[in-house]
Amino acid sequence: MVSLVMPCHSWWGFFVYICNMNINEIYKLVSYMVDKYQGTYLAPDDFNMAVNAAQRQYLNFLTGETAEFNQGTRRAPGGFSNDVTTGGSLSNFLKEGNLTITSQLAAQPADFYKISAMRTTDDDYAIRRVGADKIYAYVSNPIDNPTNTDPIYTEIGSNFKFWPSTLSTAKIIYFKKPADAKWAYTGDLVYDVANSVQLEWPENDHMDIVYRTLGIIGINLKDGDLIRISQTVKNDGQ
Amino acid sequence: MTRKVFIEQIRRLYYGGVPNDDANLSEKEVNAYINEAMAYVAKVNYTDAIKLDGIESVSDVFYLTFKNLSITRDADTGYYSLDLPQVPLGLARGYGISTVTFPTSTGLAKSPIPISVRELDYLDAVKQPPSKIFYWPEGKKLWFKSYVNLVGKSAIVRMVSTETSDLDAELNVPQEYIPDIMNLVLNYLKVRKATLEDSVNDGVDKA
Repeated sequence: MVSLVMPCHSWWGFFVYICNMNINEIYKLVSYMVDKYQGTYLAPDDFNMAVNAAQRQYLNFLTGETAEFNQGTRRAPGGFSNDVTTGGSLSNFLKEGNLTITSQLAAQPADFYKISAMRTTDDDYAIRRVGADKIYAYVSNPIDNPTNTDPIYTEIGSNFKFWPSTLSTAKIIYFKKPADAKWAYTGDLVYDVANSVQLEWPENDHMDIVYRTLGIIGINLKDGDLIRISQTVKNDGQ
Repeated sequence: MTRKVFIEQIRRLYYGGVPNDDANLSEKEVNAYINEAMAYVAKVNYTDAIKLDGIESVSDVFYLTFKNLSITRDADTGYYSLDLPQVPLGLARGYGISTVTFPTSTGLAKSPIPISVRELDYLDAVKQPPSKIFYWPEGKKLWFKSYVNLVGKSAIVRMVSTETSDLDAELNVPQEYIPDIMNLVLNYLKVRKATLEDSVNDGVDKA
């Protein structure tokens, strides 16, 4: 009888290994490579700093560069591509919240990183983002001046400013900042699972963050290098 | 089909799919183009009728009736006037504005007589029955020459209507002209899309 269950080849084990890592495994992998390529010890605080910088850099990449394209003579240099891959990676960070508007102003949420969309609270109307230098043109516009069914906003400091002035609430859909990951330890560098903070990213993004962490530390690897090293770490149980 | 549905079709063609929340081509902007395109196809309909049938005609579908248009008196000229919903199209007399009447409750049931603004001096000089009311359009105003006091009265106007800001209103256009309107609007929008937007606020006009 032919088994339909995939055999546990070494590459398959490796795949699971590299895709499904907790913060301890990421720390061990990065430490191993720092030791191998730089011959130095990676302090936990340095690792925590590097991995958090890496995940913020990765979030910035996903939300800021994945939509770059040229269409005819127009160029869209920012934003994110809402395809399955990018959207799946970012879904953990996408949040929805209600804003209370006072004197046309509403404060950004405390964990705000980048905006995705703004709507009226009933979801019936989009609130369009307008650059600060175009507010005058919109407010006094004879065709589509802002109304309660066609409102606009702009970003001013840590606030959003809305038009028309009668708008009292809004719904914001935004990317929150990722929580700072932490490899915590007790005593003689023994992994402290209770006080550690795991990455919030989906598992398929862990390797991207490892790459970026290594880059921040100063190690630039090709895929093959990382795969071989990961396999070594796994086989050696380090 | 409502204007909103038609606008959504146009926006999807413009954006190559369902527009994002950050789409800056607003429904009102598209509606402004539709207003102009509808006026154009109404004129095409009028000239087509002359070319094909040899008679002046505008499809009845283009007409709408507007009620409760209040009338005021101009102190300088002594004429009466009301504000039309839009500037009438430049079709032959009786086609842009087909009918002007008054509600029966006003006691002014007889239809006023359309005249040209160029005939006004002549009519001012001739005797006329006191019950007769003449009207002529000037821009967005409809003027009346009347010996009966029209202040406080309201009029009913039936005219070719191509403008509205009510996006839930039905498109009052024969279905066969919808593709023409679509093409006209998309031609406007092609220019919009091909023109680089000056998105840099550096004090230099890059038009």
